[in-house]
Amino acid sequence: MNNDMKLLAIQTASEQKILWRNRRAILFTFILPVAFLVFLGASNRGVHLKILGNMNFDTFFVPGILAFSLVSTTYSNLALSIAVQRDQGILKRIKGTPLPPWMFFAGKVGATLLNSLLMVVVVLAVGRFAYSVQIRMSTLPALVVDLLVGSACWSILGIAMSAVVNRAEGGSPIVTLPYIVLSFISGVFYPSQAEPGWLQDLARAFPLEPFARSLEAAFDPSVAAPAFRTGDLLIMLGWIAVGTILSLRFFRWERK
Amino acid sequence: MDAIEIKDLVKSYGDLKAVNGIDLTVKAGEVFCFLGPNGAGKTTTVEILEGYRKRDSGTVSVLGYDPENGGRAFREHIGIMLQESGIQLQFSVREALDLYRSYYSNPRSTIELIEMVELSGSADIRVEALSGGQRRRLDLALALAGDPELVFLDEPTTGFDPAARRNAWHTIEGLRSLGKTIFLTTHYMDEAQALADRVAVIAAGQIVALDTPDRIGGRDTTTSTIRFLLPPNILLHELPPLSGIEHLDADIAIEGESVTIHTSRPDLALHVLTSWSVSRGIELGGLTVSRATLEDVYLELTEESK
Repeated sequence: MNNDMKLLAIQTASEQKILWRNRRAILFTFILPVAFLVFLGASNRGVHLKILGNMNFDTFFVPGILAFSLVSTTYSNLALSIAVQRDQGILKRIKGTPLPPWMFFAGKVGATLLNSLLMVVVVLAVGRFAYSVQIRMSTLPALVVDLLVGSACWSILGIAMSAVVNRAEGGSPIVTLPYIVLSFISGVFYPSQAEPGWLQDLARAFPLEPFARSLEAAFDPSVAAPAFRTGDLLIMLGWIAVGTILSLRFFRWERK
Repeated sequence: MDAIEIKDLVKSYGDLKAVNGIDLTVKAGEVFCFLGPNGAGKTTTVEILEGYRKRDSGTVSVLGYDPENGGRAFREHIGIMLQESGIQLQFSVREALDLYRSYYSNPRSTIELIEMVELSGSADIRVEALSGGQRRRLDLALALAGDPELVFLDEPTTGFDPAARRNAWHTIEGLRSLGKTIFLTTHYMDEAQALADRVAVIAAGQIVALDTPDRIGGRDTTTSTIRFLLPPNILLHELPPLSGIEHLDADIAIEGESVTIHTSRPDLALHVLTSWSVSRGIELGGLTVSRATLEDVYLELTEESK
């Protein structure tokens, strides 16, 4: 067991090393969300959203960006890195070693958790000190649960998506497109309440809108503690089940 | 115990019988070479032995494990050098070896591995900056990281320059002297000739020949060819007769001034010829004796099965 823990640490560190030596990944995973955070915030200083009962724009968009950046650290990173490693034959090589398959995934998830934690700290620090976001002790448990469930959900969807992608190079738009489209309809950058009903329903069927809304509730001073949104959590849990089934059914170690 | 034991192995892809009833035993400590054209079932067989593919029927034992469910314990004892498989491009040679070593309970040291494949000068170079041949050498080092008893080498020297190939052969000879079993596939006949204790030729999913490189396909008993240049001022009929001598069969032919003799007893034919030439003080210019090369035999064997 002790040995397995050591292996897990080695796997996690090696996945981290790969990410931090990949400029494109750093740009998309860390720099892009922070840029959105800075520019979207700067261009909406002091704005109150009538459509959301006069909510402060900061209280709306910082949780939205937090959800957006966690989808990037979990889903995009996992889907693309696994697809690339399969394409290059690294997965096949690893399959031929004594490293247990679950340990390979555990290392990926471990590295993903560290990246996500980093983004949570960065986004919350910017939200708290550069903008007027309140971190409420009374809703902290809900915030932590929302973050864990949302990250788990988008991680497993990333692994499932890596199985769908055939070739890493062509895979990038297939991976990125759904997440970009969802970002625009799910009330991440601007409120979705002005959208037609069918579009709101569509967004709500996928796990980004529930992720953003549940985080928003934890920051919104007008929502009473503990601010758990059971419906949102159930939608995300449902997608965890879907992602697990798809991953188990379609995951491949070798390219076709 | 034998390192590899295969009985009546069958594997189909749809209607195609990729492997059609193979029996094979590889002894511990042997360098075994698997030859065959692309699509003959070579890779399928090797990947079944490595645990990458499931067989349809037959029994397979590799180091006493069934590769399909040998799991971690089985993989501790084998090393695999695939034809094409990536290495994390962002890692240096040393980092890649350190990572893969950590997967095994009794690995070789990183320094030793780097020296074995002569990458000492490139230990801190990133994989993405290595040349094709250097990357292949790192591939070999990664296959040896766990100090395996049995090493699968799939076309290990493709893309090597001649000096690098000799060095790789030297490394493989070194493994043999440590008592490791080596299962090699290659398209280079000189490689099989130089390294293998035994060679199997696979064609259309079946083994069509299995023997030492010197004997396979009857190489040791097939006819040899004697060639020399007709000495000046000597006519063909002035050469000593090769017919009517006991145990000697010989076909003689001439093209320009080049004489060619096909015979199953080159020793007798040469005795007759050289006794004659020495006693007369004549030199047989350009004299060579050759037999079918491994490549000749291989081409013949794989042609027959088409």
